[in-house]
Amino acid sequence: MKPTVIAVAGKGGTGKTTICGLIIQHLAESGKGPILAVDADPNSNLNEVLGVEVEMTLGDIREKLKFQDSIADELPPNMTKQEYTEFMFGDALIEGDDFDLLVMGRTQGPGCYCYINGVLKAQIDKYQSGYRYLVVDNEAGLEHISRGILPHVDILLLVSDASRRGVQAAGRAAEMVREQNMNPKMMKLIVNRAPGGKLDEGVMEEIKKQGLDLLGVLPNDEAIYRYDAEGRPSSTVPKDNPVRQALRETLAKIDL
Amino acid sequence: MSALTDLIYAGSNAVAGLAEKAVNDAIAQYGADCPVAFPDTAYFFPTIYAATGVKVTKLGDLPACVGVLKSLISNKDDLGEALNAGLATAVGAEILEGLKYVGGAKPYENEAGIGFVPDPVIRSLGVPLVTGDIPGVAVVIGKANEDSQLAMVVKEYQTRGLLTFLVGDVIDQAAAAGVKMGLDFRVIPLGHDVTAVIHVVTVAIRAALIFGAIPPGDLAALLKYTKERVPAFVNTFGPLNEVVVSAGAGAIALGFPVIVDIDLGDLQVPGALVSVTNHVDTVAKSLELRNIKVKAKKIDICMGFSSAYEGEIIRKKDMHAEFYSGANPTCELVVMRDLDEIEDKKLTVIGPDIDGEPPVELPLATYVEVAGKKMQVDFEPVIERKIHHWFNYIEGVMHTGQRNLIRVRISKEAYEKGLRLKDLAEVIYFEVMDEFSSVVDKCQVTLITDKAEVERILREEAMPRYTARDDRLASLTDESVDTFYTCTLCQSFAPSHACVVTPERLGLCGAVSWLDAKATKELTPAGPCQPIEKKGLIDARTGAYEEVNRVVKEVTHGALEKVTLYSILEDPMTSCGCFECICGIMPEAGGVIVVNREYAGLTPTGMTFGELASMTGGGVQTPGFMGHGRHFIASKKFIAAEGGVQRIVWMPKELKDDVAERLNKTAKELYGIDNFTDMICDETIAVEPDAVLQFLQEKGHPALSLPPIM
Repeated sequence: MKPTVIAVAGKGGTGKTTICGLIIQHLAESGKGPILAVDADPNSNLNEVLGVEVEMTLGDIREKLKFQDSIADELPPNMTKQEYTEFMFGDALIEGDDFDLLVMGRTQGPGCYCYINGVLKAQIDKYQSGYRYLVVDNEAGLEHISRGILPHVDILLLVSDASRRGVQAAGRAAEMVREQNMNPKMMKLIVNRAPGGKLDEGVMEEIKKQGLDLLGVLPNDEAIYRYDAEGRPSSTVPKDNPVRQALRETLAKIDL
Repeated sequence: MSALTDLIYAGSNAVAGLAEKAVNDAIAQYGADCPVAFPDTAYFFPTIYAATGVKVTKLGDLPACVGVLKSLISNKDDLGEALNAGLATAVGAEILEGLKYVGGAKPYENEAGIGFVPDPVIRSLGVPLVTGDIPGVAVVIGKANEDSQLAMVVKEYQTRGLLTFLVGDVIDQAAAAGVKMGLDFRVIPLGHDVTAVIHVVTVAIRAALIFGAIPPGDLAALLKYTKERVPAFVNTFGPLNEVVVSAGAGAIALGFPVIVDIDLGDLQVPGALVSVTNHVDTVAKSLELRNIKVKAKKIDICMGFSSAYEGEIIRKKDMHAEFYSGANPTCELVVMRDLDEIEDKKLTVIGPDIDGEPPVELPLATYVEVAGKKMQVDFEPVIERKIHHWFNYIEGVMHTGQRNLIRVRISKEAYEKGLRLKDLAEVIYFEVMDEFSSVVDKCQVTLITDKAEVERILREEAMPRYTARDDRLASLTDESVDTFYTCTLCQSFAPSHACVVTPERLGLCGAVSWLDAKATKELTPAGPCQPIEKKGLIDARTGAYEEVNRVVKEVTHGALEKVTLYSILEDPMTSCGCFECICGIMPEAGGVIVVNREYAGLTPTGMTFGELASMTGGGVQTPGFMGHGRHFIASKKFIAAEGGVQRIVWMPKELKDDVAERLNKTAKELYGIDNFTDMICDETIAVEPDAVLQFLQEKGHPALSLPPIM
């Protein structure tokens, strides 16, 4: 059965990755696992938010395939690259109890993702049926989704900070989603770091102007900042943390 | 008029009315010139195209089709005539489903079903269908009274390896009852509307066009092909309405029996429309009616065993034990012994079993010794590669990799039900003796988890043997052997096709190497791989041999007079339709383009893979087009008659990267060109012919300075 695919997108600095981690934590704690978490933003570190170590990314497998001549343990001559990728995929999957994490890794220049994307897509397609949810932390361009490496998105959550410019950026992302015909079943806006958990009128106006569908507002919170600063996984802030509470209520509106 | 024909006509007329209205509405809304097409197919509206030869490309083409549809509904009280009306329902369903795709819409994106099945998927199903790996196709439609009854039937098909398509509420019912779905699990939800059933009908129809080379418009030949060669049948669940009955009539016209779960009494048509009210009997009766024989596997283990479990993933949380090369020494090895050296069915475990608290992590050597009068060292890797599949067939066991790089997981569920290493040995023994009985007389299986012993086997036996095999494989050339082989595995689908398999040219499906063919000849002496003595050379350049021609003519029953081994222009080898890649001429560049099945875009020839592929296949010889396996691209024999691999000017990036290493090596050896693939254009550089040419000129591509290819 196809899992429900939730994609979280927004520009850097909006707290998108933290929210992504909190969504995963929320689903796991509500007994909605297993979840496949996918870090598709090379500039974020979803693993730190979740508190797991990354040893190998899909990008590393790609490098291994691409530069195989220059490394000591070259491909076994009897294996096709597809078979080898299938074997290596298990190494790149970081496995937990309720969720597993897959890190897409960095891109290396234009165009070079083509071949490996094909074989990786085949593996992701094979694995995804084992999960109830796929939660993807995306870079702003949603490249892995638009290129079809990651499956069709059911729920797209745009994250913005509580500024007009932040909302405008989310508006541009929504525009791109429409242009590229990604057709998610639903696309919603979450505004993060709102002082006192409230939005002032100017921002509300901008949301309307951008044609965005506001799902929820999360307050600014010191505890999360402190966790992050101390290098503790911010998805593990206490349950009664105001951001977590607000997120729970927000997600309840879309039955998550 | 009989009640049955009444029902059929009522359904057909209803669908005709709906289709007509939908076509008129669509034309009113979008205009007659608005294009309409199913995604990723070269066969237009396949049912209409195959039955009438009409190519539907725009809405304006459809009113005429509605006319044809109506003409099929005679309303005469005759069962044969009524079955024709069933075909009309199929045409109507195709039109209704096709209209969902108007304007490039993606109607199934947010549906549980997949809707239209693209051509490449059908081509990929060719091999498992002809090998009997998929023994049949079940179409399950309707709404069951109880989820559990439905799930029992579907899981039974799954266990037997059949491919099951679901239409209607049964999709949600199967999901609710925990049936695993997807192509990997061989259960494919099509859609909730009853018209979605057309998507499996067009699979059967396109099989006739792709593999059977049935000329479009030859309805009689089409019906003969589907009846004789597509092993499909229909199961309906729940009450029938007239639309389902008339769709069923269409299925019967195609030769697919319909088994319903309500009592039809004397409305039943023996052999075609049958009531089976007790679901316990549904599967057996269905298989019997369609004459599908499933190999009865009776392995005495506590878990399920079927190819349908191959896609199963075992997460770490659900895992009891793991054997993983990254953590412990591992290997898989099949070795040939003399008959008196081993004891048949001696199954041994050396070292600790998987008992204990999870995760149990152990080394593993899967050490299989076989002996037989007809056994040859060349068959060792053929058997060894099967271990991967056999382990995966066990419910609760996941296997990836081969040789000394493996990861095997055993689930907690399997462990709790009692699965132990001895059972894995049992499976290997059973399967070796089952599949390789003609060459293996004795088999002894040892599973070793003792670290020192695994390391010893790895060092002293496995690694030297792997190296020796690789050396042997690398040294095999067309010149170094005196026998080639035919492969006619696909003839059950493509009766006039035969592959000629040589060491440097494997079967075009990519699945049969010369060593495989050689082993197949030994395993099934009268089977699909027959030896061809390499004699009677006519032309060394094109690879033409009198003996090849003679044998090919014989095995294709005269359909093919002659083929060459190395030319794409002079009597090129034919294909069945399940090729991995297709090669076509790009005359303005003096070269060829190669495109793989997975690539959906346009090529510089102005055609997609599907369109190129539809030019050949079905055993038709089309100079300038050739289907082949990925592996063949780097062969020194690749279109050697036309100048070899230096003629390749364009490939999709993905394919280029896949074959780059070996292709560059070949180009270096043959022509002294370094990094040849850098000179080959791809879709990220250009697709439009002028731009491709410009790129080739910039790179100084060798094809440009060769004599014209045609």
